[in-house]
Amino acid sequence: MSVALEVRGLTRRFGKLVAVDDASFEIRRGEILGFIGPNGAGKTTTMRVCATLDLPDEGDVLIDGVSVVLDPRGVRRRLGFMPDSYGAYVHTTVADYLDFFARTYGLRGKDRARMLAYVKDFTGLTPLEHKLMTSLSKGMKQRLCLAKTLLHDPALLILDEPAAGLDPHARVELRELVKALAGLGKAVMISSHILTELSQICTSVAVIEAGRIRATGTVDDVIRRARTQHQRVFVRSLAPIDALLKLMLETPGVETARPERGGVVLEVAGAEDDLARLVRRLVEAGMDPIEFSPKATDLEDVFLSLTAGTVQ
Amino acid sequence: MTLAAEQQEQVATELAPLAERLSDRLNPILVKEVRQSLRGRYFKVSFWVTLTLATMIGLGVLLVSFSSTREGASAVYGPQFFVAIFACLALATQVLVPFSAFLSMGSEWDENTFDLLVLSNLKPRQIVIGKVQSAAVQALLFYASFGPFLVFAFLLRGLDLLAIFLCLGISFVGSLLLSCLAVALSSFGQGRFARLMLMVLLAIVLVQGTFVTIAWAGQTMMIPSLLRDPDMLQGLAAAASIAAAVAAFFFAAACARLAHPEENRSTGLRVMTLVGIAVGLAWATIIDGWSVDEDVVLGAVMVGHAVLALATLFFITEPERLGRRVAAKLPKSRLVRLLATPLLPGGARGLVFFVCGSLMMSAWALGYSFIAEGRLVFTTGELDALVALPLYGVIFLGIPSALFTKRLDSLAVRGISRIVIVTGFIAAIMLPALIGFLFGLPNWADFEHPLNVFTMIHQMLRKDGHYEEARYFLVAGTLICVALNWPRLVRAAREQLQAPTAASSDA
Ligand SMILES: Nc1ncnc2c1ncn2[C@@H]1O[C@H](COP(=O)(O)OP(=O)(O)OP(=O)(O)O)[C@@H](O)[C@H]1O
Ligand SMILES: [Mg+2]
Repeated sequence: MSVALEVRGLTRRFGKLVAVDDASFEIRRGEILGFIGPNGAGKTTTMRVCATLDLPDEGDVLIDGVSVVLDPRGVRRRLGFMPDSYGAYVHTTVADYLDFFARTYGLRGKDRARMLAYVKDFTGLTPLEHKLMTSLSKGMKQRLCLAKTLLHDPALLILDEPAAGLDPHARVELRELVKALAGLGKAVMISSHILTELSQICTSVAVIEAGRIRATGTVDDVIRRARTQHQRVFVRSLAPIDALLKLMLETPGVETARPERGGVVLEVAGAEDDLARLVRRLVEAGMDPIEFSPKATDLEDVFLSLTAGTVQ
Repeated sequence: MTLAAEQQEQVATELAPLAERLSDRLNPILVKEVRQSLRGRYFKVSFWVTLTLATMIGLGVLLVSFSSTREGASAVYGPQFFVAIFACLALATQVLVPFSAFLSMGSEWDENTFDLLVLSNLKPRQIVIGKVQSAAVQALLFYASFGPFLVFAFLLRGLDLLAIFLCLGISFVGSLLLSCLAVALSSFGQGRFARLMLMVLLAIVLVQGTFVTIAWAGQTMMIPSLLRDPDMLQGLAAAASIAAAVAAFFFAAACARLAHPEENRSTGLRVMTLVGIAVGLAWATIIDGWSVDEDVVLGAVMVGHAVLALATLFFITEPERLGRRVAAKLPKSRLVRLLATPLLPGGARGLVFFVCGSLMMSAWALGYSFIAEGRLVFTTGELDALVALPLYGVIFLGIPSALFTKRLDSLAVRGISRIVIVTGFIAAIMLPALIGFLFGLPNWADFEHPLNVFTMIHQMLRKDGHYEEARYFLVAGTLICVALNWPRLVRAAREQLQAPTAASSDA
């Protein structure tokens, strides 16, 4: 699989604020990368640099080997970017809007007609093509923008929070569209706060916080690695909860402990052997444990454990 | 369906793809714009209102003319009728059309819309051309719809055909020029307040420009023989070429504004400024008919310096760095890189630009004198003025801008530095006069002090004042300016020479 997007030591400053700090990651063709991070982490900034709308202070981004610094026009031919918000043209119908952008990409005659029919069909806009853009609902506008993004058949798609403001139906549809696009061999980079959404379609993730990339890799990898650093465990014992709580809070490695459903939920730093030590400690202290269940880690846990939610 | 209708339909379906294919060749912005204006209200309303107005005014003029003509007098109403109709036409094509170009460019500026336009890979040049083209199309629609009125005016007799075509041509060129200006102005103002101010400014310019055209047309219609006067034609040609240079400058300015901040937004404007000044100098040469008139030459040099200084005000406050994209596109040869210094972006290079532009004008003045007269025709006072003018510019632009050099990356600082330069220039004229007034220095109180470029140059030209003080000021000021600017100049040169030569793959 060839690399579609390569971010190399990307740094972008706004005055004193370092919005993106030495970020590096890559996406291969056919891959869907979830780009997650709290508000203000630098997701949009990174994506705008990738899309040539902004320029890095240091580092570079290569799209199919073409640099955003040296050849922005070459990059724009290869990439489709869907910003998190976009304006509408007045007095313009869906069909006219798409036709305009198809022309700007140099599509002519029959090619243009074929491409327009294809994207309208793909995004389900055909029945709406004579509607005015300004009268579309949020979800429909989102589709229109996606359709516009597909017009020049880009190899890489960058979608900035495409699911924001969509109802559950629309989200499912969007998810299917994105999957279908990846199936066509396109690389997709998608940022979102809705992690359950992402975990169902992404093949890999990059976690960013305060401008720094905290983790990258396939979803499984990142979760496994997160698990070696951090676990959540539910413990129930015959001993009184207070005693159990006291013991657990005194145990090294346990970060927090709180009572829940007749037992205690622990946040434990460390890997699985640390859990084994914890069980031994419970038994040795005569706590008579009757349930010890590590919680399955998902993207949400990864997100919460890797990022402190600080806003910069 | 009848056979004829069927045939008609067939022709229509055959024509539609042809129209499609033709429209493929057009600028996408033009296509979009025409569609939008056909759906929108602005164009329709202005179109019908103008036509109605023209009809009413035309009828009014005819009624008044008929009723005031005594029996037996020759009935020639053409000129009055034409001027009345032309006034409506000029208002439409030179006020309404450019104004709609301003609004339409403004609607692109909404940040998110504009991002999509950038991503579409349209070049800034294409965007601006598309906007001006669609203004031209609107203007042409007005001309076409006024056709019947114009024919009627001609039938009323007393009209000179050449004059008609000249008037229409001039108003069309004026419409294009003003549309360029409107698009450029619109791309300068992104804030709400700035937009409002620019709108007011534009409205004033449009109305002024239109009145000049109408007045000119009126005069030409009443006295058509004026057109056979070679001086008049030469003046027209000079005005047209200067207008073309100005329009090209606005065009370049709009393109620069639409380009990415890290793109080279300066070289085009710098070249256009020099070209504009060169056109002005060329006309000064021709109008003189190859005999040197010192007043014309010095006047041209002074106006040239004013234009140059105004443009340099913006260049000298640009961020000093070349930017990675510009640096990557520098030519390989180090010599060429150094020679290109005045045209490359960056504040320090703005100072070099001013000096080079100024040298160009001096070279013209001296060369013209030697070639046309075979000797130096200038008095020593005039030569003093030729030297003093650039030095004043260097001092008033170079010293204040050097103070900001480190922080020009910030848009706000750039704005402030420009204000400081302008106020500094005004203060340098006012403050010594105030000091002279307070401390009883009569010359200074009369604004005859070395910091006042206007009186000093005036005295040099007339060679009657005592401008020795000015010499000391100019020498000291230039030295200070060079000292202050030296570090940024060195940094700029080093950046140019050391930029890596990356093979750009931009097609
Ligand atoms: N043009 C700008 N000028 C100054 N600061 C900026 C600019 N754009 C972004 N920032 C700052 O950079 C940081 C990163 O912003 P960014 O928009 O990339 O975050 P994000 O991860 O997309 O957040 P969100 O989830 O809210 O969309 C923020 O602190 C923001 O204030
Ligand atoms: Mg964002």
